[in-house]
Parts: sequence; C-alpha cells; structure tokens
Amino acid sequence: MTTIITENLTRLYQGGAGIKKINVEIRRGEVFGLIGPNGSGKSTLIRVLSTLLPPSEGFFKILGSNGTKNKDVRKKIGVLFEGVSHFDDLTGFENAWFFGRTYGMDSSGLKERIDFLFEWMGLAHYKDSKVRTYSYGMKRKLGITEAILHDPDILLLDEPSVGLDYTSKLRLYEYIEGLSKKGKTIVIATNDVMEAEHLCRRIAFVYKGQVIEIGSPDEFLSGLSGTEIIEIKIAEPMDVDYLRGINGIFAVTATDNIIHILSNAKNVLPDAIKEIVETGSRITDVKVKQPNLGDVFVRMTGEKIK
Amino acid sequence: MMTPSNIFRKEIIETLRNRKLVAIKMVFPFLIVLSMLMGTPPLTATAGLITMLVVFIGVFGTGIGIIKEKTDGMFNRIIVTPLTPRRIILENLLAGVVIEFVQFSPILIAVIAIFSPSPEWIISLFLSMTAAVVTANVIGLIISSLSSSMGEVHLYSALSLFPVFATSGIFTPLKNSVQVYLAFFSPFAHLKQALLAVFGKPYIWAWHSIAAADLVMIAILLVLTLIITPRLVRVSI
Repeated sequence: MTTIITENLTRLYQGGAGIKKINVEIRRGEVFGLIGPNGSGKSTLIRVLSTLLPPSEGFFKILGSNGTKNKDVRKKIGVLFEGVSHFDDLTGFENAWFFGRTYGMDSSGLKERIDFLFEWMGLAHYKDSKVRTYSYGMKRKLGITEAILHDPDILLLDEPSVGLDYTSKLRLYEYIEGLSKKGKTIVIATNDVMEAEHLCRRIAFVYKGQVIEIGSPDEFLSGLSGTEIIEIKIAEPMDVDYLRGINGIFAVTATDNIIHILSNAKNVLPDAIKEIVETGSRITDVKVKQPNLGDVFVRMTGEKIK
Repeated sequence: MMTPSNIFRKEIIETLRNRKLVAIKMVFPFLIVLSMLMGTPPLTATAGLITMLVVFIGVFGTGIGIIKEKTDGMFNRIIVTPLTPRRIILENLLAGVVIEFVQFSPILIAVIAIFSPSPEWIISLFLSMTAAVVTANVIGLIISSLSSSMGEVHLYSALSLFPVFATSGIFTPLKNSVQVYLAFFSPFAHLKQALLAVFGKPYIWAWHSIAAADLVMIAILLVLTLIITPRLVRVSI
C-alpha cells in the first residue's frame, strides 16, 4: 500500500534552488532514504511533505489525502527538521508536553509516554532541566522524542542521527526498524551513506533538486560489483583531472587532500600512484575499499555526497 | 503546577519563568509613570507617555517574540502541528494582550488611586487600554509577518508607529476637525483622551463615545486578524 505519493512535486526558492518535478511512491512500512549532498533538495522535500511549505507545482498525497489541501494529515505525521529548536526557557518535559498536547494526546497517557521516551533516549535525568542547559546532542534527542511522541503513521526525519552519540544512534536505528515492522512509514533525509545502507529499504538519490534514481541499496551496490574504490591521501590538494586518462578509471573526485578513484579494472593503483608522484605530490596514505552508496552517487554524478 | 498545554499557557509560563525580566517589565514603566505623576511634568505629557509605552511594549513584545520563534525554527515546528493557523495567531495575540495588561495594571491602579475618576471614566479607561493593547499587539503580529530579523522588526515598527503617533495626537494636541476625525479611528488616541479626562484635563470625546468606539475597534481588529491569518503564518524560507 502506498502511503506517500508525489506527482511532479516542485518547490522553488528565489534563485532557482529547491526541488523540481519529484515523483516518488513510498510504501507502508518502508524506510525510505533521501540521499544527496548539502543543498540537493532533501530538506526542501521533507519541508513540503510535512506541509510546512506549499508546493509551487504538482501535488502529493499522504495516506490517500491531498497533502496540499487537507491539513488533517498533520496529525498522522511526525517531523524532525534539521538543526535544533525548542522553547529554551521550558524544561525538556514541558517541551515534550506541549507537542504531545498539540497533537491531541490525553494528559493521562502523555506523562507515561514522555517518561518512557526520555528514559529510552537517556534524557530522564534532565527532563526537569531547562532546554537552555542542554547540549546539542540532547536537543536533537529531545527533537526525536517530540517527533515520535504521538506515535505517527509517517515519520519524516531530516538528518536524524546528527549530533547523537553512538549508543543513541544504535537505539534510534533499532527504534526505526521496530516502527517499520509495525507498518509505519519513515522517510529519512541523510548524507550518511552508511546510515542509509543500514536502515533504508529503498533510497532516492537527490541531486540539484531532482530525484535521479530510486532503488534498493543492494540493487545500487550490485551495479558496482567488480568496481574498486581507491582513496589516496596526499600532502597538498591538487588538480586530479589527469588521472581520468588512466585506463580503467571511470570516476575521480577530490575533497581537500583525499583523491577518490572508482575503477573497473584491476591494477590501476600502481599507475595512479606513479602519475601522482610524477606531479611532485607526496602520498601519505592509500586505501582500497568496498564500494558504498556514496560511490554509487559519485558514479552517477561525478560528485561526492559530502 | 501550570503545564504548557497550548500556546497561550506556554507564553505565560515562559514569561513567568524569567523572574528578573518580569520584575523589570512590571517595575520600569510603573516607576517612570509614577515619577511623572508625582513630579512637575504636565499631565498631558504623562498621558502621551503612558500611551506611547503601551504601544511600544505591545508592538515590540509581540513582534520580537514571534520573529525570535521564526528565526530559531520554532515557528515552523508549530505550524506543522495540527493546530490551525487561527488558533496559533489568536493564542499568541491573547497571551500578548494578557501579559501587557498585567504589566500596565499597576499604572492603571495608581492612576485611579491618585485621581479618583468617576466609574464611567474607569470603564472607559479600561476599555481604551484594552483596545490600545490589542491594536499594538496586532500591529506587532503584522510587522513580524513582514520581517525576517529583529532589525527589520525595529525598522518597520519605527516606520509605522511615528505616523500613527502623529495622527493620534500622542505628542501634540489635535488642532482641527480633520485631525480629530482621523484620530477617532485610533485606539491610541482614545487612550490618551481617556487619560486626560481622568487627569482632569480638557479632553475631546465623551466617555461613552470612547467606550463604544473601542468595543467596535476591538471587534474589527479581531476579525481583521482572522482574515489575514494565512499571511501571518506564511513561512518565508
């Protein structure tokens, strides 16, 4: 059963950034990932689906209702936007209480639910402290707590694990998998490819405001079987275009002083090292890795996700 | 213990939580007005000052409160809850009005205690104060919807309020019939005239004219606020 469907969904900002003609169908019980670099349009799509921003063109349906017209869908959605924003002069408990009540939760069950989630998130000792005194990670945890408080059918999470410690991340992943098994739909915008591989049943690569490809992580990764990923760290950043001329290399990117090479032939490493050394650069580290979704993105766009 | 179950209660709790600020908000205007009432400045200036404080505190209090929530992302989070835009705006407005009215209560009580006005002028004074506070808060709401930063709130407030002060006769007396006619549509002018009447100074309109006009004005402002609600909650990203 499809819970979210978008048709030519477009939202453009002044200057042309935003999302353009997005068509996706997201199914019940699915963890759906939106992967792309910063500014690709992931957060805009989350904002539109959350009903915060009206689309400039196109429409979307959530659980069969037109999301652009029927604001009742908001009761069924839980949202975590990027960043942290809370009522700083209220306590963590009061912040959660406010959102629980605005989503129509009864006072009787709400306190228990907050206590349970605060315990689960590791915030129990701080629930009566003003949010002003919380660290960034604690504020993110509080944001996640508020998003899932009313047990929504659809959860829209923008960079959910940013700022979380390792244990909290694992707990969040476990919780998301549990929600998926219960038939909840979860949309995650992330540029953490490991997170997407671990959590998402399907992912959409978002690039320059458009969805360029949708599929399961396995499908994408099988497309890179036989591909060798080489990371070469050099002392100083340099132009790497000349490496594209080496036979077998089909994508080269560079971030700061790390060169990222995708190759579909064996033994390109010695040639690449030789070329780099001949330019006078000093190599400080070399790694050969298994491909991940970030490499899939590089292959599709020629750019890195982060 | 009060819990933040809605926007109105949340605003009240947030205000009360900051005790130092509450004390300053309550004491500062009261001391200024009391010093003028007990001192030598002409009472016409005192009436103008009280009106000006009501306007500034209302406009800035609401305008800055909302723009702060907009800039830190809190307003976006509230908009995507099932709360209707009308409820969001009306609860913000109600909280602003109640907080400001409480803030000015000591001044009203002091004025009544010192000048012992007739009951009808007390009613008129309270009604004109309510209308002025509601108007100032609605102006604050509108300014917050046009602004994207604190600086813009200050700018638009200054640009819009000085003409309002001039046409309401806050700083200068209303000299001719055109000015008087225009000022009749301003709740701020009503408040100043009600204060002048309470102070025993010459005033323009009868207490029942002020009271009736203020009741109509409050109703019009509330309807206007409901009409422009979609504009007030529009997100500017």
